Amino acid sequence: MSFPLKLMWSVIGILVAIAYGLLISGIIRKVMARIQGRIGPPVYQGFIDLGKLLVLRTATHHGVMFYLAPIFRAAGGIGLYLLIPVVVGVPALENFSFTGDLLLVMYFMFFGSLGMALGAAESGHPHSSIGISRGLSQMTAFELPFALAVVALAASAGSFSISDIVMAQQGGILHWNLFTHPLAAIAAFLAFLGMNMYAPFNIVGAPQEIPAGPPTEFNSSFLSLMMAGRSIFAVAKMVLFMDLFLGGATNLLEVLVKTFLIYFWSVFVGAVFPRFRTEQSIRFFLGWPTVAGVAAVLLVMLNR
Amino acid sequence: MVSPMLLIAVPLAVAFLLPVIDHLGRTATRVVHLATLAFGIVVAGDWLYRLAGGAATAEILTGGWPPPFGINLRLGTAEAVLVLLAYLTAFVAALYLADREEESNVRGTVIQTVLVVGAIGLIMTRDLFNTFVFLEISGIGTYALVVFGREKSGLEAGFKYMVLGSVASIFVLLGVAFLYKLTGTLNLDDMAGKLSQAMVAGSGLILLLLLVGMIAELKLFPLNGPAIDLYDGAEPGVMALLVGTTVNAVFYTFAKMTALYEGSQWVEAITVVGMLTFVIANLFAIRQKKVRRMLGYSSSAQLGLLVFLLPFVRSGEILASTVGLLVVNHTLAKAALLWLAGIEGNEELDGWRGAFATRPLLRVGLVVAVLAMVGLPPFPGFWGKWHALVGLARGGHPWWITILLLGSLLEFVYYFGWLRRVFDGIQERAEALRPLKWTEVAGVVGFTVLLFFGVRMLGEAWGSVAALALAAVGVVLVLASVIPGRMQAAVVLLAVAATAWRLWGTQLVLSDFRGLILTVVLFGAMVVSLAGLGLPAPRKSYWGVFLILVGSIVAMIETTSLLGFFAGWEIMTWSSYLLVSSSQKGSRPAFLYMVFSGGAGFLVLGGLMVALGGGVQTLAGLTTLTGAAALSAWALLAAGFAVKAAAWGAHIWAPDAYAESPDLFTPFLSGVISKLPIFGLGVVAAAIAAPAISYLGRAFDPTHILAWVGGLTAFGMTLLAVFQEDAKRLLAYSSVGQVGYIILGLAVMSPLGWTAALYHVVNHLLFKGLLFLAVAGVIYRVGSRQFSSMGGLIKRMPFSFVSVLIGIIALAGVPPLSGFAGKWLLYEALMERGWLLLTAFMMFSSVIAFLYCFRLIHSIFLGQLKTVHRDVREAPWPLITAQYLLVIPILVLSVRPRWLLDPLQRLVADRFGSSTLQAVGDNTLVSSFGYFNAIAILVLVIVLFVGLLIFLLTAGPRAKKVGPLDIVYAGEVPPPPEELHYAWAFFRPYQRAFQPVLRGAVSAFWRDVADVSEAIADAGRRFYTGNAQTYVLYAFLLVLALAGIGLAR
Repeated sequence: MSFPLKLMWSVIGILVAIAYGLLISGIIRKVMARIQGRIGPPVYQGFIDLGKLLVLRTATHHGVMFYLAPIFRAAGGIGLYLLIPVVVGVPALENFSFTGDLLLVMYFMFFGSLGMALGAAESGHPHSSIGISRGLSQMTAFELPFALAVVALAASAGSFSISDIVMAQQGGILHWNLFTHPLAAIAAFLAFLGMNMYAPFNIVGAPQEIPAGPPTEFNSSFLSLMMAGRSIFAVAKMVLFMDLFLGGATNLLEVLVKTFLIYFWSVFVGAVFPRFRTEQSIRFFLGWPTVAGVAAVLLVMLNR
Repeated sequence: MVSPMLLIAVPLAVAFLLPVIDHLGRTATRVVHLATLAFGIVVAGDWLYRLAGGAATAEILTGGWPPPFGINLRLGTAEAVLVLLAYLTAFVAALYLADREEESNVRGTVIQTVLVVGAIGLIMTRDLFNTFVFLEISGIGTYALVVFGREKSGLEAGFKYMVLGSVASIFVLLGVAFLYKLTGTLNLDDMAGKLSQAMVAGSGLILLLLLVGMIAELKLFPLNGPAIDLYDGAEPGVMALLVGTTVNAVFYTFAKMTALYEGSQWVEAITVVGMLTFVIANLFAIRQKKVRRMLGYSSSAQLGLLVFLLPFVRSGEILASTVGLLVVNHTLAKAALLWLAGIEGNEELDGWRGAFATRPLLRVGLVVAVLAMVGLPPFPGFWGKWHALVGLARGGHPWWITILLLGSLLEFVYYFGWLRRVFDGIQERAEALRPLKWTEVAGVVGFTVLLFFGVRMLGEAWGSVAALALAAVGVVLVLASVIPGRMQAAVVLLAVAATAWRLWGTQLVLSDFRGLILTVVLFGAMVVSLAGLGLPAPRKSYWGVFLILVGSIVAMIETTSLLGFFAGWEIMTWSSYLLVSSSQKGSRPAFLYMVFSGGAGFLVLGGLMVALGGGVQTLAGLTTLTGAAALSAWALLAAGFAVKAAAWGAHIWAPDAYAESPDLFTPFLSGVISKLPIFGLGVVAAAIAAPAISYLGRAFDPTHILAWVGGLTAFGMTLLAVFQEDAKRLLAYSSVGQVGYIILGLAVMSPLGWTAALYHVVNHLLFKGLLFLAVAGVIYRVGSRQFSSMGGLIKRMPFSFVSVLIGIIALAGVPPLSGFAGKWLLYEALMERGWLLLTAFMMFSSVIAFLYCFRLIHSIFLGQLKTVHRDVREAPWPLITAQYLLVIPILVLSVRPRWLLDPLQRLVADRFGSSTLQAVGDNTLVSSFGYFNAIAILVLVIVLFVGLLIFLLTAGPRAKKVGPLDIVYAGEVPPPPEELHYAWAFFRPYQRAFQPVLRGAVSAFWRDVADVSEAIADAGRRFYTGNAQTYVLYAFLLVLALAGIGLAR
């Protein structure tokens, strides 16, 4: 496939992913509202918010890093999406995954968060700083079970390449890593709860504590860009988990179904649990999820 | 040629004539006295020159009778050195004592002369009874000199000394008499022959009497109590005189007597008593609170060491010249220290805070003398100890080596503890000082200068012109303290640049381990000296010592011999110690740094000794070691380098040393010095790694230990860095952690692992140097290192902010900057090796690094600006320039990691064969596990960034900039609003979560080690009751004990 064509497909992919992310967050809000006995916003509320923020007449900023923060956030989300093959074997949907392997993806996940943290911190709002402190703390904690799971998968697939890991799962549902490496899957899906920051791990945005957390000071087009970045970031993560554990996908419909299921897992948990304190959240990830991850790695080492 | 007889006769005659001459006036006495001693110096010097030139040993037959009938004296090289030393010390001591009324009146002068006579007689005589006579002369001279006009403590000390001296004399006399009875001769050589021809029955007990007598004369353990009291009570100038004359003479007497002990059961007793004295006296010294007492213990210990070596000299395992070097070193250094103690006048160790603050020359003298005392290069003691150890290693005495090194480490503890106090509080002390006379100072200056004759051996060991030139310029700068600090920095910059220029293309190549480290060193030195143009020098001698440091590192890298390597290593250690100690609060951390570095040095030395014992001389020859020798050498070397790298378990010295050392030095300490253990691991230890690893076969691979030590270091230090409240401490922990990754990479022992480690060596130099320099600029402007007193400085110091931003991105390993390639390589290498748990563990700890990276940039530059910092300026331009010199290579590496990786690949290919890392196309790096393309990432990020920026600039309204206090408050506006910078205890919840592993077990362990050894030392001090009767009792108990052991065998 020629490069301009690939570029065009990627742009389309990005836009679709953003829309999908906004839509899915709308669905979740609706679901949560129904669980709590409310009517809830319409499922397209995300699009309304985005449009409204873009046409606001005033905007304020706190300095260069603040100005760049949404760009970091969005670039981090879009970049992550572009590094992950959505459908392996379909060049239009493999994005730019030739750029690097799973290690690159894992590190690129932090790009947006850290960049945004810098900008949010420049705002000088203490709630932003507190939110960042919590967010980074939790991020390192769930990284341990996730890293263990990734190492287990990569070692058994013999590669860090996402495409290779997907290819190693072909041949039926029971070849999925979800079933061949159940312990790794447990570790990673528990880590996923932390990544998505729904309850009980919603300590970063923590309503009633530090109203919005890091984005407190962001407004208008800054906030809109940030929202878009978050949407695509969430989608990218779901696609990654699909590739790692659910055997990837062969067509877009499969992508939609699988990613929705993955996302629903965190909603399911989030609807039931109240919020942890920060240290409780950290201890949680360093507890059973880590044990599961270590066991997964040991199993792989024994099976060699 | 002047007859050597005159060396005794002239002072003897003068001693008798002095009371007469004194009638002409005090000046006449002094002139005659000094002239006599000068005559001795000239004659002895002349003889030494001739003997060294190959002249025959002089034998003097008194009364014309040949031995064994007449008494004969001998003057060989050894005797000539000792006689010269005695005269020199006496001469300088006479100058020093000239102002002390009691010592410089005619009686004092006569006694000084008599002491010289006694000492020279002892040195030269070959007759046993004559020896006894001279021993008595020296003994009486000593009491007299010590007791004269002293206060109570001096009198008491002299009395006790006399009591034990009498007991010693009795034993010696008994021994001599019985020996005469047994052999019918008094001539030493004759007697030795007769004794060894037929070990006459009963000679054992007689020799024992003589031995105990000599132990008492030599003041060895357990009979060293009175001597130590003497140091405490007597005038230090007098003690210096004694060290140069009587002490050496008695030692040489005993050395001559060892001929009698050959083949007897007491040889082992001599070694054991000697070594016991060395270790125990050093141990007891660490708890001393008085300077002179401490020096007394030290003298006892040194004498113990010398005595310990004597049997090995007899057996030919150690050369006599080796012992000679140690004697000369001890005499010069100890005399200088005693004079310094006299000049300073403070008896209490704690009273030395900031001593010689305004007398830099004397401080240099003190430092040089201490370095020489503890046996650091380039001073003679180092070469002596080295050759002694080599002799022991070749003779197969690993346990003696171990004990000797332990004792030497104790020596480090108290000598550097002393220097710690001297460096402490230099800034505070500026009282009016007593004016000094040149006569007082002459000895210190002269003797410290003499110590530098060891440099000649340094030249032989190194053979690196560049290194010697750098060190020489350094010495000049130390002495030329009038030159302003920034100009000195310029000189250093030029000198290092010139070196780099000279070595460019020949040795500065990245595809060779030495070349790589050399490049790191010279580049790092240039960057910090450039930064030095913008910051005041922490101390006047700072840049001179810095250049010595650079020179020693260059030598260490370029040398081919084990000796040259270790000499460079030790000079590196002490010069960096001096630099660490040169900041306001640096003395305490520097002390800890030195003790741990000393320990590391001794571990390395132990490893080298195993190699030398196996007949290896050069670094290249290390590869010939095999089997258990290879494994033990490797383990010792690896352990030593790990301690020096502050690996987990031995890390407690590092944070304070990094944090408290001068802001100008920390970048070098972190970026360059911490890489030298890596050089050691990669060049020295790795040469024997293969046989060491294969020795245990499949049973156990020792690299696992190294790998987990590296991994634990990386994790533990990273975690601790997160909780620091001080910018430099945070970076300090971070530095140690990063070195942990490098150790881990080397431990993989695969081409990819080494590539990862070496890539990180370069990258860490770049980003950590950058961060430390940027933080140095901030500290310089803000005047604090505490995060809580900074904030919002991005608006005042934008260039520094950009430096820190680039630095932390490279550190964190977030794409697209150079750090990611390093992480990627390491993980791929670990996966290849099959160390899966370590891979995940390292991923975890490298994510924790994000926490402190953010902490660093947030607390300093982001958040709200403090009111007091509204007018803070950007850091000085040289500092900014130096930072951007580091930014450029980071950016280059980010775009093209291959420019570094390709040479590194060639480097590791020499050792391991080619690695699995390959370049596909031009930019994609492929290993057996994964791939990545640095340029593609960079382009992706830039395109996205620019596109989104354009979007943000065009979409929506034009954003208005608002002030830092113009923020949304949730209902409450706390006054005053500046207090809102959230910087204190930033990761408190994280700390709570990790509480179980943060109990500080390692610090507690080392504290226990210190407490226990101090408690032992404390308990041991009670052994010396200060009661003369107890001391005598000890003498008899020693006889019984030795007799029991010796006769039972």
